[in-house]
Amino acid sequence: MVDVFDLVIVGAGPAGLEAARSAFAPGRRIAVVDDNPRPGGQIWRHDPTQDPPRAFRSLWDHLDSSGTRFLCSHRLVAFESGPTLVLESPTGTRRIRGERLLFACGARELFLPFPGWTLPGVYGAGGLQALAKGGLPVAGRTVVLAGSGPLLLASAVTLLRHGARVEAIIEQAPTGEVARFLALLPRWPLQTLAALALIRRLIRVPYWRGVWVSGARGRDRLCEVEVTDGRTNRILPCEALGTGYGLVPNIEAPNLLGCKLTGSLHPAVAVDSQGETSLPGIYAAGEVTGIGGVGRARLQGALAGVAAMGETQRIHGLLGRARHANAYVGHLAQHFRLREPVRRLAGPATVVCRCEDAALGPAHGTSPVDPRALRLLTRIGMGHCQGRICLHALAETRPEPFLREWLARPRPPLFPTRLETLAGLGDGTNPVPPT
Amino acid sequence: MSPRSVTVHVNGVPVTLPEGTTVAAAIAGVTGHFRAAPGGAPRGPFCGMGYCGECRVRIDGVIRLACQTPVSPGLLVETGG
Ligand SMILES: Cc1cc2nc3c(=O)[nH]c(=O)nc-3n(C[C@H](O)[C@H](O)[C@H](O)COP(=O)(O)OP(=O)(O)OC[C@H]3O[C@@H](n4cnc5c(N)ncnc54)[C@H](O)[C@@H]3O)c2cc1C
Repeated sequence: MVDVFDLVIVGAGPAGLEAARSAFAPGRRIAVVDDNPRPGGQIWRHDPTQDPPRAFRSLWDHLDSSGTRFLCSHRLVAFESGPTLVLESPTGTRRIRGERLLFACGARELFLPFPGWTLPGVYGAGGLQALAKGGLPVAGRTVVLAGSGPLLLASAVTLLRHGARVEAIIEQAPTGEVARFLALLPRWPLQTLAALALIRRLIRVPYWRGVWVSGARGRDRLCEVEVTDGRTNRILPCEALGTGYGLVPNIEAPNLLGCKLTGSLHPAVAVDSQGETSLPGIYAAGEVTGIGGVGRARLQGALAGVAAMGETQRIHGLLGRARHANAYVGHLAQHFRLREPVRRLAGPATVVCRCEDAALGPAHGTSPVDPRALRLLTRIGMGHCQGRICLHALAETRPEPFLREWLARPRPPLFPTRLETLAGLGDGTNPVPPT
Repeated sequence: MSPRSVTVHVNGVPVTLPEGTTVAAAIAGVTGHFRAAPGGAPRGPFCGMGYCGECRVRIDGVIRLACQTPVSPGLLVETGG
């Protein structure tokens, strides 16, 4: 059986929740799908020890009583004609269809491999934040956050709140770039307020610029990291490292459906000024269309929600603000641009594909190698994460069409799925086996 | 806010933690070793948001992602597979 809705939104983060609110009208059937047990997405991820953020609460108060259908712990894994969404939950598979569809499926971290990054105790920077919100014990632990971008600061604040000792935040961008980022930030008042709130809570945490982590060491667990500026190294003992080099959009689902992408290094879903993708009736909003933070995600969500429901008179008030928020995407990318050395920390023996435990070995440094050739050579992209980590890391060291070539031939399912789900798909493609 | 507490078993060891936390948190209280990589090395949770697969463990007999599974009373968790 297929449940039919007027609008199906994939992703219950800021963009998806704003879209659900703005698209709502009595009698409309709206569904929001998210693979987490609770709505909120990344920034508003549920934390049982904290009161929910005010912005989330006010949105949720509207939505909770609106009759909007929330399908949490449901993951979109494939499409069937229609397009019907095939969803998998811990209890089974179900199918739903929307007259209109809105992708608000967010972004994930960009990870750059370095020796030791597979040791237990090494996490994503936002990953460690998310795990701490989920109760991972960090109180009293010594933590280092390293990589690039504002997420390092947001993660540090969460970890401090959970009692961790944050030894240092290690930013690869040089001081001059960080200063220029801050100097122009007041153009975006909301982002400025958010940055000030973070900085105020971090006055006691050292914020080093122009340095990066070049190695993590420990026997079965992390016990120290090596920090370098390219000339001198220094060892920092720590029990946890959170590392991330910015974010990349989760384009897999819209790409599988056939939505056009934009940008070639880490592509995003292309949308017009109202959030419509290249496919009529299919919309996208938030980080899946480009990395611009929560303020932009909310505006885009609100805009795409009304646009999807055809309420053109409500669009105009939002268009100018959305355009301004979009300019922040470039501002972020420009000043936290990755420097050459951090892209080349992995050696021939460093694991690049965590799933298959595959080192780059013979393919190391032999760019250009097209994605299919690499896959045959190394099994890269064939494991549980389906290349969501290693292919983006490799794209940083290879000529630009690398990822676009990989993405040009997407294959369902979008995630490893149970056998019965696979059997139901029956579309003659060659799915990734379940693990 | 003080949420109710929930007890689960990790490799036979009872672990009590607040409702709303994840199986990943429960395991981390007992061991850092969630699964073994193909080469045998221990691995623990990494991306924290449900796609890297490093926190895959057996939960009530089914392989699931510990980071996206909330604790519920009586869950049986086995790591190291
Ligand atoms: C780990 C992490 C932590 C972050 N923490 C912060 C922070 O503290 N402060 C800050 O300002 N910014 C943070 N960010 C940046 C953050 O992405 C944005 O600020 C904001 O959350 C973006 O909103 P969004 O609605 O576009 O996407 P998201 O909030 O990412 O929401 C997208 C949702 O879609 C779900 N989803 C994706 N694919 C599927 C699928 N196939 N099936 C079902 N559900 C799916 C995801 O699980 C997620 O819940 C973080 C990012 C990451 C990756």
